[in-house]
Amino acid sequence: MPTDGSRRRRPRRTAKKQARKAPAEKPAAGQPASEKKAAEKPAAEHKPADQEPTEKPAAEKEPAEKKAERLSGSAAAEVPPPAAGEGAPQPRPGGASPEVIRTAGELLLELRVEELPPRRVAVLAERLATRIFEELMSCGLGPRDLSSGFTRRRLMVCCRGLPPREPDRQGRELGPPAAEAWDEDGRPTAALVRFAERLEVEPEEVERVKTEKGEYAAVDRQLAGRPLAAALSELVPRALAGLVSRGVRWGGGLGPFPRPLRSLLALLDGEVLAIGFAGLTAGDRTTGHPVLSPSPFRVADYAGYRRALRARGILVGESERRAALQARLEGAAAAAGGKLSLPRDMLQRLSLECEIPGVVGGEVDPRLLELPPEIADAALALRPGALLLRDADGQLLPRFVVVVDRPDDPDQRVCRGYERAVAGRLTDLHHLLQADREIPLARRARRLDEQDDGSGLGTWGDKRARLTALVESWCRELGLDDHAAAAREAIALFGGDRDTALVRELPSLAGVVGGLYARAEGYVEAVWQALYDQGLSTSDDAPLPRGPVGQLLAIASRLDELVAGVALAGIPTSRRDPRRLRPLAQGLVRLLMSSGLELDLDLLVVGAVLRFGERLPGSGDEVVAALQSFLLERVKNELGRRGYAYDEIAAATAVRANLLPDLLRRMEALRRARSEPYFGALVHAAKRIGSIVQGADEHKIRPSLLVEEAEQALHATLGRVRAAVDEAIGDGRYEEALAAMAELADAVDRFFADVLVMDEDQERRHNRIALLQSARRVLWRVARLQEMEAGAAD
Amino acid sequence: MSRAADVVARLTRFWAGEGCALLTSCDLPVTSGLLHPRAFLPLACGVAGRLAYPQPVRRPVDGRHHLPDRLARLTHFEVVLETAPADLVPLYLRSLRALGLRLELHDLRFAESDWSEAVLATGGPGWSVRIDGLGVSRISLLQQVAGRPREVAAAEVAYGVERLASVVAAAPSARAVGDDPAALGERWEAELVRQACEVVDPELLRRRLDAWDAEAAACLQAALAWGAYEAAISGAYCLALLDARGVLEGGERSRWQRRLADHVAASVELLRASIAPAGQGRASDAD
Repeated sequence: MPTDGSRRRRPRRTAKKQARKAPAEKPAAGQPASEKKAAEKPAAEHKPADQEPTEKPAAEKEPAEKKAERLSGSAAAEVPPPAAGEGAPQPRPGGASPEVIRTAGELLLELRVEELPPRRVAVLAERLATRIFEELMSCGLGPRDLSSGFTRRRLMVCCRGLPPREPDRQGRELGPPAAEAWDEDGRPTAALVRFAERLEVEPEEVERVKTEKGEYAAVDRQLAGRPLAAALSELVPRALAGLVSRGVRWGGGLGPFPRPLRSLLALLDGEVLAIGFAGLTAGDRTTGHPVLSPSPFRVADYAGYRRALRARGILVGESERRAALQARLEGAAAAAGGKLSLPRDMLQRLSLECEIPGVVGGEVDPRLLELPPEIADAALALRPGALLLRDADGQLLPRFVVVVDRPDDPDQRVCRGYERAVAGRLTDLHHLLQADREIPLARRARRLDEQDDGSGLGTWGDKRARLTALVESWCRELGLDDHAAAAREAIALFGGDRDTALVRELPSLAGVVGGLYARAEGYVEAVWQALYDQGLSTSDDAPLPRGPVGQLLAIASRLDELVAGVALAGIPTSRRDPRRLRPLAQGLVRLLMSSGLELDLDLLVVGAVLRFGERLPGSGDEVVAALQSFLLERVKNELGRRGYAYDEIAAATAVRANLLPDLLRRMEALRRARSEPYFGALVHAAKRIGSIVQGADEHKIRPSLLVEEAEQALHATLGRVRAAVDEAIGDGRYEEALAAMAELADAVDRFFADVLVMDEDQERRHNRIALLQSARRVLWRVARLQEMEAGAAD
Repeated sequence: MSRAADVVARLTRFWAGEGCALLTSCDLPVTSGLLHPRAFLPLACGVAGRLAYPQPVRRPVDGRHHLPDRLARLTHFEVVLETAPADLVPLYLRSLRALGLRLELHDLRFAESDWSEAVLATGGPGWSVRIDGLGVSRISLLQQVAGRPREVAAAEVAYGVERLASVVAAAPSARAVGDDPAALGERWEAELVRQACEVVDPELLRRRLDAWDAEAAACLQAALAWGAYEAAISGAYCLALLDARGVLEGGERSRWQRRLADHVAASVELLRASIAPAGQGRASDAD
């Protein structure tokens, strides 16, 4: 079919765009058949299309895990987590039970694979769902809803409410070139007749059309859409083919995929789709857990699939599995008389470790816990994946819980095994700590002096010199000279822990280990805490470094790393950030905001770039400019995370955004003021002035030219309000400053009612513009109010 | 028969049943089973088919603290499959069942673990298999062998015999499964640790490494592929000991690794050239 390619490609672009713009819209309208069925469907199974994964604008900003989680979250919501003890494997070969109403247009796909790397599972599952959805949309086959789920051993996507066939569409069949289709007298040639016969039209119906390649014979006609199964057996393999670009190939001509594939399940309304992928042929069977329920069983539909897996204890919806796991972890902790600290990312990681969310508890020799709890926590979380319990006061208990990929521990073997593994790991840590103690931290730090610091722009010695200079200058600036000595001492030890066996084993504890070792070596609190705290994460819920030294060191080290990163790799994009500069910058901004240190962000960047001197490749000015605007974006992003509205952020940062404590005060004032009755008038006045003076030159007010009463009144009010606003802002009382502006807004209002700005007399006109410009300068002292959307937030 | 010996016997029987040719162990000190010349060189030449063998392995640093499950002298049971079969993991699970392990009572986990051996320029993605938290095997899909990418991955399964035996027997530690008279057995291991980590002069090790390097070069000169390879992996063991002593400077280790890998690659080339005209040798797709 010569037109097939163009027929497919053109609509595809638009369909993609549609999908991005409005995923909530019913993708393909006018499918009475499937809609009728939808009404019959049990309510519990209905998932609104607005939970689709293809909501691109938001999705692109999210990390892949979050996206995939949102994606599977809706799937998980359909079925409540299993009751305790339900997980026992009960293989139940066979399909759906009779009471289930099968939905027409249900596509169920499952790729079963040997354990994928956890960090890739969510990404692959999300990509699979997105690709299927986009391919469907490109053929006008938008599903009513889409669910997706995954474990380390399977990727699943299910689309329901697919239309029974592709929509017909207008298409053009190109025939022979016009020169060959008609002779000199305009009579059809044999070639044209053959073309017409093939399309089953009369030769007279063939038209002459102009194309890029010249004139051709062509027929415009309705192209019949293919039936659903035919379309799917073409588009599903296409979606699968682009899932991975590289991977392993293994015996029997299979692959490539990141790990060997086991089976492909592809069903349309219970019928196997005749497709293949990576050497596999689609079938209607899958299996449960590789050890506990390995027998293949037949699947009829999505509901039956989920039921069969649940009967084997397997939860394929990621957030469903995570919720079940969390409940079991907390239940096991409570049963053992302890509490659990379970950060979100940890829970997410653990939920990828198992198909069957099981938890086992165990005990550990208390003597083995005589080591810093943060070290024990981090080491055990990594291997064998155990979580230590704490008592009500946060003290470590000699007990742990561990996630297992099975529902229970009938023979206590699992528990005994993990107890042995935990004891072995802790003993090993004790030996590492002991070995590390033989060389003091300061000597380790000096040993690194001549070594590359990992930035690619010099040695650890250089880095420490830069950090010292930065922190000393900030101490002077902030009147923190008392802390300068402690800061110097801490920086002299900074990075020394990279040389220890413990940090080589647990790189995520760099900094924390330095702090702990410094404490053990008797350094004062300000020093060891600074080292410890600067190494902590800067995630949303992370605590701020405890003292100014830690805060300054945390800021300096991140800023320094950021400058080096931007100088060498440029500003990261949303897709490419190998040095992880984006989270680094976000952490820096968060530190600056939360610490309340009165440091000017723009000057910080200049200072940090200057310290690199000649070492910086390329132009320092460019790095400064790029980094400043990158950080401004991060500032806005952080304000958004803290719950400020978009227009509030735009208005406040437009005034200035370099002094973050000041910015935060203005943000807060703005947020509170916008629910005050006067606020609408302020915004209105600012917008009105803006529309008049936009583009006007700056003029000076000449009081002698003020003739109308309203303009004299505005002038007088302006003077009063300016003084009041100045005073309030001088003390940082921004909300009062905004309140004081209310009087000015009234005067502006009256001015516009009584005075014509565009007076015929140029001097008078300029004078009035000058008056408004002055008023606007006052109104802009806290935020560019005209950036605000309609007055009060309701 | 000791528990460890029983594991070796059962794995041997199992993999022989899966079409593996059985090898005796390599007679040189090695840190990992795949270094065995009679396994690696055929694999690198594409004529390995399916192989299985037990291989004693020395890891002095691991034994330093005498931890219950980290031995300085241990046994790998090594399986090398020229073509990774589609059912590699099910096959592996069956081999565990053949040991008498009741898998349905354990928590079996496949932790992501990409493996590579610098001196062999060989590696690929795979798993470290843990039973109830204890690492008992490593499974690798070798996408690169002797520096050459492979169209179809080879597979390597390395069983930690002592650890597996301790799980099978529900013994408290991997040290409690051997046949040696307890007192001497401990000493056998502890002496290796002391010798490697304290006693041997690093300068001596360096001289030995230089000597192996020279021997490998001389063998290559004389077109002796096996000799060059064996000298290279003997050098690799000296390098591992130097590393254990913590005396290698920044780039020294990777420099030596590259040099030894070059010898390995050259010996592989010699062998390939010798078997190419003689036809295909053993079938490379034994499965």
